[in-house]
Amino acid sequence: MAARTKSNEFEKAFQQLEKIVQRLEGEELPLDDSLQLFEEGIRLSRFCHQRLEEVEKKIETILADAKGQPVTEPFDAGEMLDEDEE
Amino acid sequence: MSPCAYDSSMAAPRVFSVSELIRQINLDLFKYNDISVEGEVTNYTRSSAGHHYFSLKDSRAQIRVVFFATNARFLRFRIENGLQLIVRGRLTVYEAKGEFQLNAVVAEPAGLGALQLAFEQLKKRLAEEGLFDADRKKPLPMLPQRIAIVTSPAGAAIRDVLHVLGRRFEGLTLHVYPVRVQGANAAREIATALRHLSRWKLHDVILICRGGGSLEDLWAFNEEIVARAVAACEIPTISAVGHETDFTICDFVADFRAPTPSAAAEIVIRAKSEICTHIDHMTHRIHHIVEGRVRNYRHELRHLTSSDKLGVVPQRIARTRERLERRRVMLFRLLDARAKSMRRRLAAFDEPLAAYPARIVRERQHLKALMATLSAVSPLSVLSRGYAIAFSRTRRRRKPILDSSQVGVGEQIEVQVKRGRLVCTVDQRTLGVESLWPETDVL
Repeated sequence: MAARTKSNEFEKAFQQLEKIVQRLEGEELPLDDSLQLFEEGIRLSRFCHQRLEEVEKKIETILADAKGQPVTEPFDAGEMLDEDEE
Repeated sequence: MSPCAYDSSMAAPRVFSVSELIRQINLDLFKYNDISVEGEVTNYTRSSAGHHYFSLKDSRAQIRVVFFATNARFLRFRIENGLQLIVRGRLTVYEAKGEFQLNAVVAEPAGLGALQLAFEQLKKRLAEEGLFDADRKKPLPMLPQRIAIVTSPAGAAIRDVLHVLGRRFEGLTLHVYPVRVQGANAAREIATALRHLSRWKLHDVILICRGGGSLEDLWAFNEEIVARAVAACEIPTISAVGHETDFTICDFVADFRAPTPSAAAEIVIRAKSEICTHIDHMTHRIHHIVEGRVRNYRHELRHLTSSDKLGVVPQRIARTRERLERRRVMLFRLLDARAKSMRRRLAAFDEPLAAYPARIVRERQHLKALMATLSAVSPLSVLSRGYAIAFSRTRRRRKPILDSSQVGVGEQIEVQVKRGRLVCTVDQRTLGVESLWPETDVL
């Protein structure tokens, strides 16, 4: 659930950044306003970059336990090939 | 032609009971113990116990087929009317009805393979249900960072995915949900995995992957149970099963189809790197725009302060001041002229005015002379010398008495002296007597 909400936050920030670029490009804004938009845009850009790097880099296996809850453990990439395949 | 159809000398034929006959025929039919018949399916029905009943026909004949559940459970496709079918089995006569019937052991579609047919049938059915419709497809999240991959942990697919991600997956979490990807339980395991992942909602996207293989190998991904689980999954799915040319039902139901597991990984990676690039681009844009604007403003400001634009103001002030000065001068000049003209007009009066004093003196002397004369002739001056004036009173108007005949004796007269007046009664009068003084002296 948390993951999804965070994605939405990112998308919102991203869209806002897009809107700011559009406004700055499209409208004749007073200088004060464009400076304010600029600051906001830089803030959003930083936020997005932060989000991009923030997810922990990892590979795990995930499985359901007896109660149907997720259980993760480190993924061993060196495991044998499944006998079913190849 | 003999008169009799049957030779009476011949032994009479054996009489069978019906059952005996059918049994005998069934024995004779043993040579049809393992035959294959091809025909079009018609009159298809299926019992609740799972037995299939239908006829196979061609243009001229038909034969009943019974396909018992014990044999039919291995069927992958659905038998339906109109299907061109090759049925392999044993030909018998159904004792209860005395009808030929084919007891099917195996059925295969003519032309296509059974799997191919099953695939086409399920595809058609799910398509009609709308499971492949574009409006059911969920969009991929903009930034897929938490990725679940349903696959064999030791298969080629996960190897390929990891290879593509390589060192590039900063900011990505990959969860491998291990399942068997072929064999009897594969479809069930895949479906279960999808149900769990959909419920947990821990991921941005689910990859359903398997390396290449035959249609038989990939079969789990063509099973309805998998198709339904994918359709029900609330997290966007990318299906990447087999090679580019392999299409599975799972591919059709999933939100996205990647031609290979590597390609699925590429989609995820690309989404992220494209976003990165886009953000950098936008950041650059706003820098550029705002810097440009600030530069423009600065330029304009310099322009304004330095040259004509703002210089206009002092210029205008100077010009106004100049105009004001001109007006002032003009006004003064005007006033001056006015004053001069007034002065000139005043001066015009000066001459007659200057004549006045002399004239006054002269007039005053004249007046004095007149007054002297006047006082000389005034009766008052005569009175002051002791003379008196007598007035008659009887007449309406007082009149100086010049002749004594003007009044009678006993009449009253008034006598005016220098100071005061006397009322007198005439006692006596003398008529016609000359005055004491010559006439000329009187007034």
